[in-house]
Amino acid sequence: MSDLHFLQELGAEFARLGEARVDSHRRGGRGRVPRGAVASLGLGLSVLVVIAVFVVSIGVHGPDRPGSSGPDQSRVRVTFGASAIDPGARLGPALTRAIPILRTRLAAVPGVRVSRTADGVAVTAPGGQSARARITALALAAPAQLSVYDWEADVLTPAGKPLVKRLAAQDPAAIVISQGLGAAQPGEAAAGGLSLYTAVRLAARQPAVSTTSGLGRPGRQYYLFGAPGSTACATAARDQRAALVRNQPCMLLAGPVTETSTNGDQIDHDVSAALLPGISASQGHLLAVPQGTVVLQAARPAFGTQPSTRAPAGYFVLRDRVALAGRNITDPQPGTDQAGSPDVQFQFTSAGADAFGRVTAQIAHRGQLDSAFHQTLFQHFAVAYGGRLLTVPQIDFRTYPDGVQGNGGADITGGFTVSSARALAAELRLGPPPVRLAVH
Amino acid sequence: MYTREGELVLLFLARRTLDSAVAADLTAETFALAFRSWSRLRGRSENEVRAWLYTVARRQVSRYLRRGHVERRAVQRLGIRMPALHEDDAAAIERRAGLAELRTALGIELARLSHEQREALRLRIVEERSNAEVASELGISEQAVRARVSRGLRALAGALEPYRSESEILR
Repeated sequence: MSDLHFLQELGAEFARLGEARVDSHRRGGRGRVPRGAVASLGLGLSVLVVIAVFVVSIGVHGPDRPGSSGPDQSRVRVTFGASAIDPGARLGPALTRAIPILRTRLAAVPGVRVSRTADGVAVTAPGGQSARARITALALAAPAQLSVYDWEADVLTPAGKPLVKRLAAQDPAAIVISQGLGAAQPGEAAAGGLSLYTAVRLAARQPAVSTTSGLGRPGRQYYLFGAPGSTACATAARDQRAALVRNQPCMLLAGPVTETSTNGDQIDHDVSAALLPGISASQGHLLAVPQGTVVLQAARPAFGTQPSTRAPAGYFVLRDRVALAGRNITDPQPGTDQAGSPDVQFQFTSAGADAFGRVTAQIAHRGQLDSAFHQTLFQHFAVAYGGRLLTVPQIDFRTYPDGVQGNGGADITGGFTVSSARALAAELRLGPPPVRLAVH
Repeated sequence: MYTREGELVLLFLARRTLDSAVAADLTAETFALAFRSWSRLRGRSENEVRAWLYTVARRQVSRYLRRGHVERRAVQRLGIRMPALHEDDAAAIERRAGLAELRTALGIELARLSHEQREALRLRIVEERSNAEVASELGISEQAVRARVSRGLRALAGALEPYRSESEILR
């Protein structure tokens, strides 16, 4: 900056105007607390959603089922046969290793118990068909992946444009997604999240990419929606005890579509097999998200707390270009941050440290370029796990003009409880179970 | 961008107007216009931004020379509170832009202009009279005043070309 008083004072005027412009885009936000550079990656619930056969009402999370784990309720029992994934391995030791992994994975089901049988695993939990479906989904789901995205480069605006392009054009919707809205941080539902149906429709319109390199999810992902007010939605909501949003389609089912199952018959067959009793595939509207695009659930404001039933569920559509994956981290451990709050700490592999440095450098440089007239537009990376955004931390290009080196590892903080931090660290550490399960 | 280019644009404008106060006003108007148009700018590399900014600045000089006064339309629309130009700043701008040397050269070049052009420039630029007043004073039409002032300024601008810095010529 010049030492001329005139230029300094004029610069202060532009700074004031720039801040006012950003504030006006945030539509009266209440003074957002700036996030630190990369020190904290907030983390959310590790929900395996690859095959979510339980119903989620669009726009509203179902409340936990109070009393569903009470001693007077009947329990369901689901048994799985197992075979070792490694053909040369014996089943017994593989099962011994698989049991704690499955317990961690099924911890989201209240009152669940996992035990070993002669040739596999038995899982029991209080509840009826819904609990059975949930157990089956979680036990058979592909392991969740930790994925890091370049937020502004990969997330799409509601109009389907890359955020980074609309940000340069000062699009108010883009600024909200990038910079947050009031107290809502980037990546949270209130900061530009879409309803699931809107997000999936937007994602389904995106072109498929042919390469599988760098993708978080190879192949397509399908979503089956019930029509607003339909019997299917009512049945699903009743079974799940979820609030039903009027005039909104409800999600009946979501899952992967393999490249071989591209004809409608096979998809319908898969859908029918997984649907709740009383709901048929013909009652739903099937949408397929092509390879190269992902729909991610918004980050929770605080981990370990159930969202209010009135809180809108938000979703974002991203280009599936993973900058850093779970295989790039090592030694995840539960710990505490400098403030004494629970967190998950880990190191990067050599390739992971390089990738982290690279993506954060890109983000820092872009943030610097897009910031003008003191409209400081910090840009972000997004950490996702199991279909949900965990956190979207910013890179302060003034502190880290060339990105952040990953040599010292990183820690993930943000509203963890001790047990949830332990659960995530265990899930990251244990990886996929060494057995293949099939429902008996 | 402002941090990087602010002083360079100010000195650029000072060399073209030979007046630190006018240059300060034009600098504010240039950056105000840039601020308002920033979202429409496609190329965001350093060179692209600089080229665009100096195009805006040149237009401001042209407009100032054509109309004889500084427009503050963008500054006013944005509600910018114009800072005062400190004496220290004015002296620093004079020194850094080499205005004394330029004025000397200008004086020489001014002497080479025709009497009619020189008078038109004196009344219009130095005394800041309107075109109508100059026309009345000289007994010519307003169109003729504009033509004489314009030709005189072009001649002076051409004469001052050797005093532009190398970096300015490259822009």
